Amino acid sequence: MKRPSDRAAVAAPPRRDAPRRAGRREFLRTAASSLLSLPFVQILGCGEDGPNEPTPTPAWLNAAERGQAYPVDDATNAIADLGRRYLDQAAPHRDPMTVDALLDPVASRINDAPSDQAALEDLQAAVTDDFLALRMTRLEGWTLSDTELGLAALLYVVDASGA
Amino acid sequence: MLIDGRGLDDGVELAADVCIVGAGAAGITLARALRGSGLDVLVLEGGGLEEDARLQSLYEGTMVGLDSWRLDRQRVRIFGGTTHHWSGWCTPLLPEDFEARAHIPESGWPIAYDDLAPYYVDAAELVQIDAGDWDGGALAGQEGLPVLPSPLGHLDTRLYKFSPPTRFGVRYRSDLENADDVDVVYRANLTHIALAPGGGSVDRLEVRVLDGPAFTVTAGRFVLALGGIENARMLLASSDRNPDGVSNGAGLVGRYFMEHPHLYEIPGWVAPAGVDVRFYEHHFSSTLGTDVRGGVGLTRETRSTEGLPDMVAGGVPPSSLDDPLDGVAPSMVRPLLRNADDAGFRRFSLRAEQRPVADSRVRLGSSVDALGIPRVELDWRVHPDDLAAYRRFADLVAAELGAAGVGRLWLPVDDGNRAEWHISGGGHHMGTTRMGASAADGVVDADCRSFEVDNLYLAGSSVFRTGGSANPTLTLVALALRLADHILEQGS
Repeated sequence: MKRPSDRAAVAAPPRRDAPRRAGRREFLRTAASSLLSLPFVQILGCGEDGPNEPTPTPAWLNAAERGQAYPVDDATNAIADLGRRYLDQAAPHRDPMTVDALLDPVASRINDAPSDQAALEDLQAAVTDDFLALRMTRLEGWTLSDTELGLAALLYVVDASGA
Repeated sequence: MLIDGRGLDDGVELAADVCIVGAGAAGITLARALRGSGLDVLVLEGGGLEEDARLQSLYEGTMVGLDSWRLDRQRVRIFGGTTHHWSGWCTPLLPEDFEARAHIPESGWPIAYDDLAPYYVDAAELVQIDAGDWDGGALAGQEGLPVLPSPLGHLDTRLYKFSPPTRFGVRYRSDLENADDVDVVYRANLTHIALAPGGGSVDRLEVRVLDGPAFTVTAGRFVLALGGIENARMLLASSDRNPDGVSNGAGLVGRYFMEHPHLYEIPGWVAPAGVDVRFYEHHFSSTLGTDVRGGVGLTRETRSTEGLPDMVAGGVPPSSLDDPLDGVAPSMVRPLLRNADDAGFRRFSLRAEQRPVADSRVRLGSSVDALGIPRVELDWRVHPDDLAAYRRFADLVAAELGAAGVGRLWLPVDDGNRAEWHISGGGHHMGTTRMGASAADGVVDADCRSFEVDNLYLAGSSVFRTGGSANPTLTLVALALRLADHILEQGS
């Protein structure tokens, strides 16, 4: 049985014929920032990018351009902290079965996608589907989709594991 | 003619065909409508022509339930009544607000929206707003402003029109002052409703000027238009014949007090840059020639399916907040928000209907005012199911925002925890002499006439059977116009 700290293992090695993919941790940070900052910062256009294009970088990460942007680490750390609180709320005893149920749907989407771009788009679609199906969780006052919280939790676990 | 009550002789007896007690929006509307009818109309107003602290203090009382405001601050004892500090929000009740709804116990007015519809048109004229339709989505379309998308189909766009606001005591003073058949006695405080032998009709009203003369009024018909709290207070306080007061055989007077629970500036949502919410902000509509703003409600179908009372979310002007994020965003989320302008963080207010609750009530306290009338104890209560309903409303709005990609909702309250909701009122006092189909479930009938006292009528929001989420002024003015028609049909 996998422990939560083993969650990084869900990020499988890239396929040999797959487009270039970022490191798992790097991707998780970017994906979490993109999706979770989408409502908070701005919509990121990724639909016109080809699958081999680099993962779009949120405009707010460009501190020079944005001027007042928070440091990258602050934002991603905030998302990871959001993920920790999600686990505290949904799996307070870190029961592996419960943690798996929260993280595996997101991890599978990442692993099964042919590219980072495709993974990002799939996650975005899953977030929309969550809201359409009212698969939402209230956390610290925010009402967020289970997918975006699962992504935040995955980032937290990966960060915590040092992977 | 306007008459200062201090100049009357002590012990004088005044007589009229119709005596209206209270010169606020309802009383003035009614008196105006009866001009030239051949009826001799007498209006009694407890306040003066100017604000007077001593008279205002007669409104002091105690909040013993939900305590969000002072009783002597939310009403104004002056000629013109509380329109003196009215902010001018206007929107009618919805047609379904008048219907019996399975999920709102004791709902269902004995009149339908269509019975009031023509009076809403006339009421709009009185409060100086466009009298056209109330389709917020259609107006937004005409103005080229988008409404929030609703991929799940739950959202309904509401429309508020803004009165200048009309100060009834200013705008319509000359109408009454110059009317040959209307006399207004101000500083004239009702102290007692005296019933005729048998109790089936009002014999006379006892009236007193503070530190001045006392006198009596006889009339063919009496209309109490004192407001949602004072109407009940005076019926309860007139207990010489019956300890429960006047028109209170079913024990309903004072009960079912309703407000519109407001949540100001607590909830918020974050929107990506570029989401256009101008329609939901206070703006001038060149189409209507009136200031307007939109509101976010739920469709009739969703409210029915979900079993929800009505509720509307509206924007809070950014200028009212020094720092929209201050104290709002949890520290972990704040870094994502950067700052309010970039993130598009917006607070909004929620204005809700509450289920009628019998134990939410006006009753008499043990202390008395300067006229010797027991002061009010207001025990305002909100049903716990309402809090869960408000939370459900928020969840549905959150789902719509998320599915449409236009933001996320922040509302840091849980179901059922009243303290977390920080509920306040809007000064909308309703339901304490509710309209019903029979004496068993109402104080007044469909004509606003007491079931028990045949020459006594109640005007104003105290007759509302349910409150919807609509600000009550437009509706109570419409009801007053309808009551005027009823009185005119009855003749002298």
